[in-house]
Formats: sequence, structure tokens, C-alpha cells
Amino acid sequence: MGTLLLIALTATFINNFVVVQFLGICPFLGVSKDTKSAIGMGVAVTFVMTITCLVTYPIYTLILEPNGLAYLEVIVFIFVIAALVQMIESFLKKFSPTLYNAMGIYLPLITTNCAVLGVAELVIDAGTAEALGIIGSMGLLNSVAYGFFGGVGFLVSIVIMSGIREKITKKPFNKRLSGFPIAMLIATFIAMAFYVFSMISI
Amino acid sequence: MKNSLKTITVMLAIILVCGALLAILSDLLFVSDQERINRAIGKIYTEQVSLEQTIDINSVDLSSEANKGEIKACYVLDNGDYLVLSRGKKGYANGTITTYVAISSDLVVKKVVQDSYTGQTLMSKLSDIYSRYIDKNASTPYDDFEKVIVSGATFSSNAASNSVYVALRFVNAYTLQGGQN
Amino acid sequence: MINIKKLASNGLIFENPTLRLVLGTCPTLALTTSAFSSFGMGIAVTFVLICSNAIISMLKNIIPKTIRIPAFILIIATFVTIVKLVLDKFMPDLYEVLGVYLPLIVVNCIILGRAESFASKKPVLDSAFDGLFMGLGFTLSLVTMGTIRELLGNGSIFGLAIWDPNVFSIGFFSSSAGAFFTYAIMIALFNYIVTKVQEKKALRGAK
Repeated sequence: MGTLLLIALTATFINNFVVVQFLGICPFLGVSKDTKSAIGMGVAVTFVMTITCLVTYPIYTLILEPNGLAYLEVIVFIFVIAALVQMIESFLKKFSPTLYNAMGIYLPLITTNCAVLGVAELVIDAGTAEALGIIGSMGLLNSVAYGFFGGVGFLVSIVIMSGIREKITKKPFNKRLSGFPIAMLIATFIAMAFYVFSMISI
Repeated sequence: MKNSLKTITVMLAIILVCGALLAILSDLLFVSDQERINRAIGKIYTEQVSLEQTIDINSVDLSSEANKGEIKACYVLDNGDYLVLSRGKKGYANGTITTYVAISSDLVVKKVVQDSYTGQTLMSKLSDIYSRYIDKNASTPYDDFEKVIVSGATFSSNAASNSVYVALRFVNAYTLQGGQN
Repeated sequence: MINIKKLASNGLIFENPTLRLVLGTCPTLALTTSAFSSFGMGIAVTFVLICSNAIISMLKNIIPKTIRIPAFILIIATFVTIVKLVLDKFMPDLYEVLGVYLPLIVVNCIILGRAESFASKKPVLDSAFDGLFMGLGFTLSLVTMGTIRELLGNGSIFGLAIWDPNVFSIGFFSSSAGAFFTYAIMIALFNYIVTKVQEKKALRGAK
């Protein structure tokens, strides 16, 4: 239980995927203009990240690595992710139109999202397990948890970003800063806030 | 029908070519464990030194120091030195720093080089810290290690110190157990 | 030769992938803590860009439209894996520094974006040069940002100490917040300069 709690805290806050590990910046900046779409994107990313870990971790540990095919990891992962996203999209369209309306449109954008491929790479990396105090490899449950909470962290960040951004862009300001610069400046402050979490010693 | 046949053929062709290319290259560019160890040795020693023996790290019980760090590997070199790959914990954001520690046969630290780290951000500041561990030995108390700090990178310094401390503890316990000496 | 000049000014300035198109933001923010890692990432991306642009342009008439994205990704992923293997063998220091961002080059928006918008339509040599200049634009932006952050945060450039960081350094720039901040200022500044240049050009053209 302790490990899962540690993973929850680490992936969501201490090693937040967006403002600490810099993964998933493109949608973070692109889809944070209003809170509604931010939530949609956040949920979609969490969904894909969790399922990705569920599929790529076993593929790597059970198929690629034991057969000396570790060098194919990049190609296999990106294909799996692309296929997964396709399947999730069709599945949602067919069986849950409400969910599809909420987050379906963001799904194609997530295929080339650093956060998804990033989390797949992180859960098979020895360093991540080390940092969490896990000996050996992470195990399927831990990997899926890491993917899930990583997505939650993304959701938290993007919602904070959209909330601030909505308020700031309501009133006119220096037009040289509009668009990406102002978003990055807001992100600076969010990053500073999250810096506090790195002080937590477990 | 003809279109989908063409589609599948092209896709398969690309997959096969890429797969074959990568298979050949991964064989040619393969880096064996032996090579990795030699790289580490090359970073530490200027003279020709080679691996003599690999120590079974499970033969030593170091659970008392588990909160400070762990040993990932330990080798004996043909010049009598121990080469320890040690991972120190309690770094920035609960990250770790892994170092290669060269310890002489009389348990004095000869040199420390960094291998890798997780979660640290200010590693550039730490480049000078590793020289401060030279000549620390198995009877150096932990307090002395705690004083080795780079200002502004306290947590990272902590992890680095932990890795060296645990390496010394390991070699000490190993020799006490009657390991090669 | 006019082609090359246009491609160069495009990739390096007017459509600079980092500062104008704001693509490939993840490695930009993550790896600019030092000039060396910025340079390394820049070179890796440039290499993949040139190769994938060239190959995709060569195969543009053979790859059916319906599977072009998966095919492009496969080709890009192959080159990224090649870079990974080569670095692990010959430049392990750079390999360590790039870390998880090396495989992430596959999903770098710049590469897929250029493949889709340029290489799949233009001839091979043009595509290769476009890849080169886009990559160089990326590299130069990253190295600039990396130098600023390394200088202010650590008092060094490419590892060479310029001044003692204990005497003067602004740790902020080495942190993640500093990454966003530096990037924001650079985008705003660069866009300002480019729009001014374009206005001057338009004025001269109107005369």
C-alpha cells in the first residue's frame, strides 16, 4: 500500500508530468484556453496514459526484453499507442456517446503526445523504479498506477493553467505577450508552486 | 481490393526493411555489460586496469543502511581495488544518485565518479563534490559525510554522500566477513 | 540556389520551429539546463529530420494516403532508434544526458509536422535541406536558451566555468520555472524582432 501512495504523490505532484518533467507541454499550452476543454483533454490524457502502461509494460517485459528485442521498443510502443488511441476512439463513439463528446475529439492529438510515450518509457526505465524505492522492475500494478496518477497530475496542472489563463486573457494586455508567452509565464508560476512539493521527504 | 493490397504490401515492406536495418545495427552497435564496466574503469583509472572478480552483492547484509542507499554491483580489480556501483538515496525530490566508488584494498576512497541520477536538476553544480570524498575511509563517521555539501544543491549532495558512505560500509562488511583481502 | 536561401531563412528565422511555430516544446524546456545537452538534442533532432525528410520524400509516391501517418511514424522511429544505438555505443555521456527525451524525438511535433507538410510534397533535395535548416533553427534556439540558462544558473558555458557560481548565480534559471520563463521571454523577443524586420521589408517593398 505504501508504494501506491508514494506513486500517487510522486506522479501527481512531486514529479508532475507537465511542470517538472516537461511532458505533454503541447496540449498543456494548446488546450488550456478554457476550463471545459482543459478538463476534457486532461481526462482523455489520463485515460490513454493508464491504458498505455497497462499494455506496453507487459509487451516490453514479457516479449521484447526476454527475446533481446529491446531495440524495437520505440517502434513497437508508438505503434501500440497509435492503435490503442484508434481503438479507444471507436469504442467510445460506439458505446458511450456522452464520454465521446466530452473527450473524444482530443484523442487523435494524444497519439503524438510526449506524455503518453513518455510514461511508457518511464515505467520500463530502471531509474523511475529506483527513485520510488522499488527494487528491480516496477511491476504491472505500479506501472498502471504511475500512468494513472501521472495523468491526474496532468489534469490538475492543465485545469489550474486554464483557470488562470481565462481570467488573465479576459482583459487586454501587452499584445506582444499574447498567445504562448503569457501561457509560459503562467506556467512559470505554477512550476514555482509545484517546486514546494519537491521538498517533501518521505 | 487492389488498393488495400497495395496498402498492406507497402506497410509490410516498410516494417520489414526497418526491422531488418535495426536488427543489423543493434548487433553491430551492441554494448555488453563488460564494455560498460570497462567504460567506468576508464573514467576512474588512467592506467590499464581490468576486472578480476565480480562480488555477489547478496553475500553482504546491508539492510541497516537501506534508507541511505544500496549497492548495485561490486567488482574487484586486478590492482586490488574495489569498484563499487552504489546508489545513494534521499536526493532532491526523493531522487537518487548512483556513483562508481573506487576503494583501495585498505578501504580508503581513491576516486568517485558519477554514473547516473534520477530526479535531480542541479547536477552541474555537483561536479566538484566528488573530489571531496577522496581519502575518506571505512572508519569515517557519517557526520563527516553530512558536512560535504554544495550550497544550493543540499539534497543532491546528500544523495551523493550517501552513495559513497554505503559503498564504504559494504566493502567494510565484505572484508570483515572474510572476503578477498 | 535561391531555393536554399529561402529554405534557410525559413527554417532559421521566419518559421523557426522553436520560437515561431512553438513546436517540440518538451525537449526545449527539459534539456536547456546546459548548453551541451541543448546542442546534443539539437544535433540528434537535425539528423533525424534530414534523414526522415529525405526518405519520406523519396517514398512519397509509393506510400498510399491512408497509411501515410503510420508509415511516417515508422520511418521516423527507425531513425530515432538508430540515433539511440549510435549514441549508446559512441557517446554514452550524451546518451545519459538526453535520457528519456531521446526516444521522445519520435513524437517531436517538428519532425512529423515537416514530414506531413513538406517532405510528402516536395522533391528530395529540397526536403533534405528543409530538414537541415529546420534542425539548425531548432539547435540554435536551444543552444541560445541553454547558454543563457547555464550562464545565469551555473556561471558556465558548455561546462567551462566563466565565473564562480557561488559568487553569482541565479538558481531560478536552472529550475523548471526558469525554463518556462526563459522560453516565454525568448518567444516574445524573437517575435518582436521578426515582425519588425517583416514590417521594414514590407515598407521597402511598397516603395
